Amino acid sequence: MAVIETKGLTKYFGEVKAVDGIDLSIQEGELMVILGPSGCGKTTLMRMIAGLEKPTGGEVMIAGENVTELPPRARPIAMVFQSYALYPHMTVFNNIAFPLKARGGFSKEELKEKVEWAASILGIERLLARKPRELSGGERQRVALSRALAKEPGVLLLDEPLSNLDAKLRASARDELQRFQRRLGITTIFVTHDQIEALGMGDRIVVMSGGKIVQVGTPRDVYHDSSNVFVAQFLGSPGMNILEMDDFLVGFRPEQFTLKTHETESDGQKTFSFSVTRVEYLGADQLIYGNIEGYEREYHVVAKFSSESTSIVEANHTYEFVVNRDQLRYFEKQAGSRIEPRSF
Amino acid sequence: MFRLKQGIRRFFFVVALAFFCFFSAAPFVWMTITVFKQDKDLYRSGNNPFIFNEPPTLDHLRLLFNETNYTIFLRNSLFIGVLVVIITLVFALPAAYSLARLTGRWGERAGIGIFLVYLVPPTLLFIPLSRIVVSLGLNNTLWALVLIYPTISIPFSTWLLMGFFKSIPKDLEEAAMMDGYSRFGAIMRVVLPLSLSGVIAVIVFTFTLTLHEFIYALAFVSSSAQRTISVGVPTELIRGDVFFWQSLMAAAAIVAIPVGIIYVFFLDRLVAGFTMGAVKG
Repeated sequence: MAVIETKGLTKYFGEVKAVDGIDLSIQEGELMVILGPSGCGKTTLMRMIAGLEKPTGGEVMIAGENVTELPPRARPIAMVFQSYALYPHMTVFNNIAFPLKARGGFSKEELKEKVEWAASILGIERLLARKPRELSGGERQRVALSRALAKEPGVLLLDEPLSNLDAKLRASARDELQRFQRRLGITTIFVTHDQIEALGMGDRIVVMSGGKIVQVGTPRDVYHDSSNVFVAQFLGSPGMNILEMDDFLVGFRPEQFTLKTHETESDGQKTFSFSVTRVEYLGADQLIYGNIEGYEREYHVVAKFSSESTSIVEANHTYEFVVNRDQLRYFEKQAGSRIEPRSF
Repeated sequence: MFRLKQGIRRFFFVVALAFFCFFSAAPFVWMTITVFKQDKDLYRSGNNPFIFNEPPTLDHLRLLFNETNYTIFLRNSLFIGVLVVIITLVFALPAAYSLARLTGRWGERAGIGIFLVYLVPPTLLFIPLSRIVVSLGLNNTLWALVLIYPTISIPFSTWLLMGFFKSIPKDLEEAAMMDGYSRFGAIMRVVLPLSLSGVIAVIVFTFTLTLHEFIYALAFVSSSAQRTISVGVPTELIRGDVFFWQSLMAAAAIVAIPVGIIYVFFLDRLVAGFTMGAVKG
């Protein structure tokens, strides 16, 4: 059953269309990632689901009920802000108790019990007496999550919750967040501009651009079967290489662009003459920048090798590189949408 | 060597501290000593003004409380002060909040506009204001001042509070709304507690304004029983060219010392209040 559904959800800020007719349906217990570059409308979409922003048009349904006109407090939703938005004048205990006090009807003991329960989910019982300013970034994030969970919401909204953590902490926070979501089985919407977070955490990913949904699918779908040249280039680091032909585009992933060897040679491959300009060593991987030659114009592309790879490539040399034909992706030139394979 | 340097630094620090303590406290000490001096001690120019050359006396306090309307002036000033503080908060808090949050870039301009109103001097305004006071039938009553003082205190307070409200991240309010509160609930539980320094600054500013304001108090109130301290004390204790110095000092010290103590008590918060307003206004 769809827990959240939006129908033609639209938002204008003055003349600017921030969100443009979004139809989305999110299933019970699902972790749905909304991914897109900044300014694509993803945060506005989430804020409309939360009730913090009033839609210009369209509807938001939660558990089958139309909540479009309801204020945030009347929706069974909790949200973790990018800044965590902990109340600086309250202790961690009071921060977590705050949504419970809003609902009212709890005795002092019940309140204490509930707060301790919410704190124990994130393992922060020992922090309850502290003020937010005495906490580290990771601890603040946990307090924000505990506060969101305290009111036992039907849906959890996370607005770039990892972007304030340093890179090292982010990987472990990603893991922790996903395990915690699985354990509670709570329907979660996760907004991010980081495609690694999206691919790593999402059950499904919604890719947005210019206020519209470009593709919805599992991480594997959107990465391998990008429906659109925007998605293909936005996902992956670096994104897909695109060659512009006369009346269509053809693309392939950097890691699928490999050095031609006698063992790999077969009919199912497309061969390119690749003149290498720079090799970038990145520890586990190396990126090889260069140009494809032999077409009317030069194409600047990137190949990605494992550093363990035995193929040795040097700058200022030209090599034969190949891509398996079934890994080539073809797109329309104007609209950028996926088309059937062509020959070139 | 290092210890010596530290010692010298500490020495100069203590000297500077002592100088400023003396600088700030001296007027109050002098006032207080003067209150208890006999006339013949005070008026002999060869006497040291900072010590008692003759035995101290309570005569001048007795004069102040028994033969002038000082207690009435005190009561009037307190009455006006409390009412004006309340009126100012009632208007300035919602005005500042809405200018800071709800009206986008026009909020900023309107805020500056409101602050400019504060810069118009009372000497220009009291003529038109007196027409208003007369036509409302409030002339010669305390209510005239209760009506007029907010015209000074509200613009300044609005501008001051705007800076505070702007410094509170919008996320916090929205978090409170997600946590189950209305916008009003979010303001009461999150925004106001976090701008307490600003509210205290407004209270202190407004209250001292009503205490020391002179022009309006002189222009709109003429009967002695309706006067405030700032006008009443000089009119009753300066008779012709005779100054009742000890009683004047007593009248001033009784008001100034408690206010001074309150200032010191809230000093950190006040400084935070005024500088924040200055930067973010």
